[in-house]
Amino acid sequence: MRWLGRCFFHLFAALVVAYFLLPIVVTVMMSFTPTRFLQLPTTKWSLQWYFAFFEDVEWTDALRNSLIVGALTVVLALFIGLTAAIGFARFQFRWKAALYTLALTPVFTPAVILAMALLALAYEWGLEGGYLIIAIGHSLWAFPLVIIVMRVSLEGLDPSLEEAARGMGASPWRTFREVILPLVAPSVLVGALFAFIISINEFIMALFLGSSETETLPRIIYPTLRYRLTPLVASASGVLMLLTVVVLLLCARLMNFRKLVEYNRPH
Amino acid sequence: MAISYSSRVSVDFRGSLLDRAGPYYKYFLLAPLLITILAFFVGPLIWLFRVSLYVSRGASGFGIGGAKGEGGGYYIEGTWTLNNYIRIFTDGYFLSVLGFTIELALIISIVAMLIAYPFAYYIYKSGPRLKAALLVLVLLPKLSNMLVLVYGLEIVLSNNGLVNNALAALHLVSEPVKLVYTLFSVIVGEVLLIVPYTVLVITATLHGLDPTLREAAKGMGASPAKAFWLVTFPLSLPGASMALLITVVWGLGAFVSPALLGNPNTETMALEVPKQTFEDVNWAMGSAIAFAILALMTGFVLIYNWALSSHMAWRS
Repeated sequence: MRWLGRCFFHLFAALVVAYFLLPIVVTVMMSFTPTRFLQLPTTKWSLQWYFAFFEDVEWTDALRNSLIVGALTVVLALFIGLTAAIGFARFQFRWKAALYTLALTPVFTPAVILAMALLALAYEWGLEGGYLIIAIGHSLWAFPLVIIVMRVSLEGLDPSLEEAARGMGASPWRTFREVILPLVAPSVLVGALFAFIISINEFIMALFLGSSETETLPRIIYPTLRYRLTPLVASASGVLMLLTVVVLLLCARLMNFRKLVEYNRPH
Repeated sequence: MAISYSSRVSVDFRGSLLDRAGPYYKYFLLAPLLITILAFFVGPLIWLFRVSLYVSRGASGFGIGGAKGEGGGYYIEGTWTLNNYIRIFTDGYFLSVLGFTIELALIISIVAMLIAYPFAYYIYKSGPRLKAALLVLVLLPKLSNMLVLVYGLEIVLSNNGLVNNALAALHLVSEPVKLVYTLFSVIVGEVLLIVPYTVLVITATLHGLDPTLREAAKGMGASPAKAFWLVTFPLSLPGASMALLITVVWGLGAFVSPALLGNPNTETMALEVPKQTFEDVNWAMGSAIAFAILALMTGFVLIYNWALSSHMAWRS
């Protein structure tokens, strides 16, 4: 009886794994289809839809826009997240817990609401349709993650290192630049890469806040998916996924960055 | 704000700008966060509420390009009305959309919990290598584009897709079942977008439990099943209820799955926002709906807090 139950449990887990994996696998397979229809390739595989993607100015422009918005998001999220994380890790002040909760709230706010709120603001301030307002929207989701990652790694630092540097006469800025930053560099990079991944994959805010000049990749995929079914969407998704995977692998490699820092630490 | 150093350091003031700012530089450190939160989160939300109280310019695109100071032609400035909210709660169409949104959120959260809890338990019980692999797998949908997931599901669920082929091969159906563009596909899609968070929260909760309690129950003669139902399950309820809350709140904002895998009957409030704003150029109405979603979410959070506190009161 218990044996049967265990079998069912494994079967259930396998089904959930399939549920999580299948959509991604199927999309990747579809991007290699040799036909013009939504038909999964079985024997023949082709790269024609990737060529179609890179030959179409509409799609390559969108790719460029995605990269620009992603880079802007990284800069904004790192600046806001890093300064705030140091503030949270170093100082005690009233309302600290409340401010921390408030800083994390945007992550739990649906994109539709953030997008609608920023849309009205963008028109009021003349930012409508620009790269900046999209990046601001994306960084609302990205900087809380940077704060979480950075705060953990800053609080894990040995405070005596900082005290030693300050005691030997280094200014706070110099202490930060030459002692703290090299030690937390891996988490800074992880935060940056997460911000980038969030940005290139987000589309509701891009849909609301972008214009025809600042269309990001997901913003083109969405109507294409809605109104015409073509394998080009699969190859566009493939490009997005490839970008994400490359960034993630980079992330994984940079986790080993810690070793590098340890080798280079002045003795 | 009363701020003090967490670790006392003898501060040696040298001429740098930052040092001259002295004890105030902590304010500078928190300033970017505060400014961003106020200018791009709290402020816009208040502004959104204000816009939702404007009289709209009417349901045509002719308002676009109006002079500055006239709401850009998207609404009539200087007006105050509750009409947009009254419409949401009296108009038959909006009422049905509102009802469906709540219904969908509840269905999604129940389905997500039924998948997430056992799966989180499975992860909790697996060995370290399988555990790491499964956790990466859970994160995978979150790290890929939601459009990719929905596109994949569309293919899997289509009439000659994998699911229908499997059903036919098992002789369960004679002809393809219509799975895509139905309530079923909307649920399957939205659950896939939300369930990773639910799994992660419950897995974290299970790992935070004291394992000796379960061993103690077993040591005193409880069967593994009994130990689970009497010890592990009740102790994991606070975390699980938190996961449920997150699922309901995100379910209320369902957008992608109803838009791409649904039909006109699976219209949600979130989908209504761009429809009103861009297709009907009725920003005031779009804002009112966005705010109604926010109010609905806050309502569920308050119900959760109330239930939690009354439960605590009952326990003590």
